[in-house]
Amino acid sequence: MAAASLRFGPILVTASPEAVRQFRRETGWEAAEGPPPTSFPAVWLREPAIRTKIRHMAEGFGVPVHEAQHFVYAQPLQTGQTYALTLEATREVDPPRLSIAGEIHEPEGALVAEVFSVLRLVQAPA
Amino acid sequence: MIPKGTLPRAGEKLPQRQIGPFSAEDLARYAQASGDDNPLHLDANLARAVGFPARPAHGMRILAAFEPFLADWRPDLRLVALKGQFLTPLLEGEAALLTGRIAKVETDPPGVIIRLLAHSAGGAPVLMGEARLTCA
Repeated sequence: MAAASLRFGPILVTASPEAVRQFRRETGWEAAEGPPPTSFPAVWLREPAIRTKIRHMAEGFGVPVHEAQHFVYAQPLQTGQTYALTLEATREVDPPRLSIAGEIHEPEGALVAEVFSVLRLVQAPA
Repeated sequence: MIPKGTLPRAGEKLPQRQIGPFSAEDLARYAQASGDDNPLHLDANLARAVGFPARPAHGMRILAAFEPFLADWRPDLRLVALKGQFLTPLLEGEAALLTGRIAKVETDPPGVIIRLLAHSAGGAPVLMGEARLTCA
C-alpha cells in the first residue's frame, strides 16, 4: 500500500514564456502576453515527477477529483524564472482524499508562494 | 475611472461575467495548457462511470477565470491570494456566471477581500472562493 504521507522536492520548475502564454490563452485572459497568473503553479503540479508520486498515492483509492485549491503569494511569479518547489502529500481515509501542500521558493531561498490542493478520491463502479 | 489607491466599499458587487459554455475541445485545450489530462475531464465513458452525466470542466479552469475577471475590474490592485472550493461540477456544454462581492476592506496593508461565486446557468453553485487583493 502506498505511503499515507510523502514529502518530496525541491523540484526545479520554470515559468516558461510559452507555457505562460498557453495558460493565459486557455484561462480567459484577453492578452496571451503578460505575467504568470496566480493559478499558474497548477501547471507545475502536473510535472511528471510530481504526478507520478500523486498517482501512486491515489492508486487503489479512487480517481482524483479536484475538491479545493488555494494560492497565497509573498511575491509575484516572473516569466522565465526558475523556482524550487517542495511538496507534502497526505492521504486521508475517511473520506478518501489527498491533501497536497507546496512551497515555491526562489533559487536563493526566498519564499514566493504557497499552494494547497485537496483531491477527493472517487471510486469508479466495477 | 476609479482613482488609483481608492478602495471599494464592503458590500459592493463586481460586474458579473459569463464564461463558457465549454466544449469537449475547450476541455482538451485546457488539459494541454495546464497538463491536467485527468481522463475524467476528457473521457465521457469514465465520467459517466463515476457518476457524472457528461465530462466535467476542470475546476481549476473556473477558478483561474476569476483572475482576468478581477484584473479587468481593478487592474491597479494586485491579487495576492486566491482560493476556491469546487462544489457542483460544471459539465461540458454548460456556461458559468462569475460573481464577486467585497467582503472586507483592509487598511494595513490596504486591500480588499472578495467573496467569489460561480454558478451554472441553471443556478447550481459551481465554485465558492475568496480573493485577496492589495494596492500594487
